[in-house]
Order: sequence, then structure tokens, then C-alpha cells
Amino acid sequence: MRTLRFHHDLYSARAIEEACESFENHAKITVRQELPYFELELTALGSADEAVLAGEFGNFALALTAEEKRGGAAKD
Amino acid sequence: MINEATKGQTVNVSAQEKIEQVLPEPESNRVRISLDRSLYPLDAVYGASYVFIDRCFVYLDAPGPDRIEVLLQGRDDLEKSGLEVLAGEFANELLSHAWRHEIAEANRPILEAVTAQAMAGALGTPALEDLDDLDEMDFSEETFEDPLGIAMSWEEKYGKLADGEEKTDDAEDEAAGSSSDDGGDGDQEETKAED
Repeated sequence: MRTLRFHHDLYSARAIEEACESFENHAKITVRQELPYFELELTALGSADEAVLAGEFGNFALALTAEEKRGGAAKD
Repeated sequence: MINEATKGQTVNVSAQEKIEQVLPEPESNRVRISLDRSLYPLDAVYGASYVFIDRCFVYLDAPGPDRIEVLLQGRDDLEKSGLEVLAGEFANELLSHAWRHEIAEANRPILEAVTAQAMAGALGTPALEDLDDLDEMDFSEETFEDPLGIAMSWEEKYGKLADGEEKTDDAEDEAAGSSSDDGGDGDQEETKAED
């Protein structure tokens, strides 16, 4: 299990939520609000590398947040 | 932070370190970059991070209200020099985005004006329904009284035509009628004599 922390000011809640939905087939993810952070516990499903999975999750959440801040919708 | 490449050059080290601090952590295969939030807008940080997500794992953090921390973790194992190169390229990308952001902000009024004009042009000419307000306006002559003939043109009042125009019989009749209505003053007689 890996713990990830995403700052409220830098990551949007919508992006985190959508990233969790996108990764639900690859990892079991629980989200807690520990202000000012979203604290996520990520456990890989199957034989996936948990470190890589956590990194890809972070990138995905960041990309969605960046797109949302630029005016695009996080989810179409 | 001075490395071999910057030796011999004049670099304001204290100012540079205030702007950004690069801390390679080779044992964790990552490099930590601390940025002054007042110098780099958040949009620029997002833009630079977006460019780097295919090369490494990018995490953002806000350790304080005036600082942003960017954590770049290599997808492959990198040595300290590799991490420093990664951080340097990220800093360049960040600067590029910050500059573009500033240009966009400076040109925003122009962009908005041009867009507004384009949108107005795309709407086309107003339809007849848009002119309904005209029905409510009163164009009847009754509400407008002009006993001194101020609203009349000079030609209407005295019968003189502009250069190159020929006087028709109707116009002559009207001019004669209007002069008889006015009672025929001296000025009008002078004008007719000139004609």
C-alpha cells in the first residue's frame, strides 16, 4: 500500500475523483480529506508495480487538474 | 547553486537561490525544486509539469503560502547529474511558460476586443423582429410643431436649388406657394432676382 498526498490548492477534487475512477481497475484507492491535503491510500490490484502505478496516478491527476485550470472540462 | 558550467560567470547566487532551490535526491531517484510563487504563476507551473509528465512522475506540493515544490521522479534510474539536468530543463520550460503567460496577459485586452468584434460580425445584420422598438416611436407630424420653419431646408423654404439641378414646374409651384404663405419678404425677392 502507498500513501499519496495531493494539496487542495494544487489539485482539484474533481480531477482526483476522476483519476480514482480511471484507476479503479488497476488499484484499490481510498480517499480521505486531511486538510489541506487529499490523502489517498493506493493498493495495486494484480501484479502491477505499485510505485509506477502511484506515479502514473499522480501524473494523471495533475494533467486533469491542469486541463481543468486551462478552461477545459476534466471529464467529457 | 553553482556548478561547473556556471563557474567563471557572474551569477547572483543569493538571488538565484531565492528564486529556486534544486535538491537532488539520488537515493530516491528524484529531484525537488522549490519555487517562489510570486515569480512563477501557477498556470506556468501546470504548463511545465504537463510537458514533463511523459518523461518523469511529477508531484506538486505547497509547503508554504509563498512557495511551490515540484518533485520530479525519474521513470528510469537516474544519477545525480541526470536529476540536475532534468531539473534544469524543467526550470527552462517553466521560464518559457511564465513568459508566455505574461505575454498573454499583456495582450488580453486586444484579444478580447478582436474576439468581441468577430462575434458581433458573426451575428449579422439585425432582423426585422429586432426593430420592433421602432413601432413604439411616434413619427407623426402632429407632435412636432415648427411655426418658424426652423426644421425646413433652405431649398424648401426659399425655393433655391442646389447647383446643377433644374427647377421643375412642381418645385416652382411649391416655392411660389410657400412664398405666398410667408407673405413674401424682401430677402426672398432678392434670391429670385439672383436666380
